[in-house]
Amino acid sequence: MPLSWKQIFLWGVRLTLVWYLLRLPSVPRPLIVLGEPQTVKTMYPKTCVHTRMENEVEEWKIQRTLIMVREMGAPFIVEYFPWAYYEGAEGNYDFTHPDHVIDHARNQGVTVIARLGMVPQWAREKNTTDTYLDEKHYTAFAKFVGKFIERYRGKINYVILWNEPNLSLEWGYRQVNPQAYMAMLKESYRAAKAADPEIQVLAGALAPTLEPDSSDFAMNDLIYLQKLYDAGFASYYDILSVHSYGLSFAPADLPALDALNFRRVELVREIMIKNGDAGKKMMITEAGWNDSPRWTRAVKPALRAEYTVNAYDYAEKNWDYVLATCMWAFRFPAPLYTYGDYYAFVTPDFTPRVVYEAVKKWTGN
Amino acid sequence: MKLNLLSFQRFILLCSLLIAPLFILSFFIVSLFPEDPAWQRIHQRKIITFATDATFPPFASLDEKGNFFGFDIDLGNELAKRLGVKAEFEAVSYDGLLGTLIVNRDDAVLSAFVIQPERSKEVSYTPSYFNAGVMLVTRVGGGGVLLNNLTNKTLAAEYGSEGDALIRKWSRITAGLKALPTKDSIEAMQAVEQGRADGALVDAVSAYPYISRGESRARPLKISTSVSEAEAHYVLAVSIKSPILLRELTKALEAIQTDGTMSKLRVKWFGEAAK
Repeated sequence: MPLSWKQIFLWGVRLTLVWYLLRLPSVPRPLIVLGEPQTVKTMYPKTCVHTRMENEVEEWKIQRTLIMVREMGAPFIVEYFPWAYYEGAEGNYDFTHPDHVIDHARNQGVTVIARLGMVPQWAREKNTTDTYLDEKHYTAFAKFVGKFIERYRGKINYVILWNEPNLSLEWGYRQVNPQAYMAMLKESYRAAKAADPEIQVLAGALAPTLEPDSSDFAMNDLIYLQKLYDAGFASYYDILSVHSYGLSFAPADLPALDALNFRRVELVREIMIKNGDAGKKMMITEAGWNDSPRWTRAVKPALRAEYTVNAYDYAEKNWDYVLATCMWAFRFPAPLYTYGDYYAFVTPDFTPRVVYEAVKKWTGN
Repeated sequence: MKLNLLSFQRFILLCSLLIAPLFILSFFIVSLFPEDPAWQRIHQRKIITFATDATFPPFASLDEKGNFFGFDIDLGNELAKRLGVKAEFEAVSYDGLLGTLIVNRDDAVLSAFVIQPERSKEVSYTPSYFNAGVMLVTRVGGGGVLLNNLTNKTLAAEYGSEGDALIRKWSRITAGLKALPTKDSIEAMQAVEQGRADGALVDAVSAYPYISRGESRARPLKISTSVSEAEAHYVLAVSIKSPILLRELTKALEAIQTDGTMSKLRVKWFGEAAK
């Protein structure tokens, strides 16, 4: 029996209603728009902070983080881009998250220094940590480096290859090995330059440490750096990445071979000069003070704010070879519930800590 | 020929009926006796090794001779005693603690460590043995303050501390709540004693010893409550592959708590107020 027009209409209404009801439980995603392009206003153009957005799920929080970085007057950030997150299966890439980070950073007028690392499970042995990269997989890492740089060509000008390889925990809990790091760096450097000849490759990023020669935890950063030079380091980086924490010492405290303080940068610089690399620049990609009430290497919050501003100022006025001074760390997506939280400039819920306000004021904001 | 085929089919069926339960039983047996390399290692060596960041007093520190001391160290020794083995500690920076479990370098992390839920695929955690979070300190008897009624009250906290941030946050939604920033947590508690503030928000480790020392003062203080949004529960962590060790450490922790040993340790390191 053929349906009448009225019946067809009624069925149409019913089906539309069912379709609408079925869609109800799906909550629409909030619309995040980039907005008007912004510029960073600052009296100190080398000001930089290390953000930690790699575990930030919500896009609005990425945007909020970068707005606050801009408002603080920092034209640079270092951000971590973990290989394991973007190539979960070999050859299977997903760059959705870094796209958000990089687009929002550019929109806020913030230059991204991209730190690459973290080994996916498919590229390492069982019972190893994500800092374990063996020689068999240097090519895989180099391929990822090339892929990342190719994708963000023209958007990212600086990449850091690996982090603190002079610490055993950052070298897969193995004995640290400058020659092995050099072999990895060579391959990755070539891949980076093949993807974008203009890219500036930062290497080193050594952890400042006074560990004795016999230590199986770490190697003194100055010794490690010289070993890198001995292995041909100079040809495989463009800018030296250096870490320089102040611990409980004032930023202007004199550097010394047996001390860890902010001006250890100058000892690193001496090694560069000794090895004929004075023409190259440096970036301090991690530095800062901690204001935990408990940690033995922390200072009071007000003193931390003072030291941080003075350190930025010292680097601006005294180190023309330093392109950026990046303090650790702007914000963590969730509390760590340890002294690590007290490195943050803002809390997970975006409440500014006193150091944030101090730097913001100092940059003229 | 047909008969032979039927016999063969019966034989296969019979075998299946016998083998299937054995196969299923094997899973039960395996789950009853789980493998635990750390537990085996501990009992072979008669030593349990704890990874500890020894830069965090009074939980773990190193003396001039390189010996470990602190609340966590005493607790580790007590736990080892209950497991019938000896405790050894390895100084590891905080970032590297959990990694030592994954690479089987250490057996457990005992280091004022708070659960990191994102690492739950790799490690397991015992119940909490200490809450080091923010506490509300008030005067004993009258004139106190309740967290659910802060209108027109004054709260003191060290400038820039977590307590300070909380007061600033709450003052945006509570009429008349005033913040009294101080140089440090001691000064915040002194402000309560002197009547300049109704309460102080101070971390537990600062609050306990100060309150313990001041019980004989004219206006003694007490811990009114812990602040639920700023609690920090310390736990032990073991590898996800160490279910037996986790069970035994949990049992030992419970025993230490119920037989009064934990109270003694708390009093030793934080004073009577922490009992």
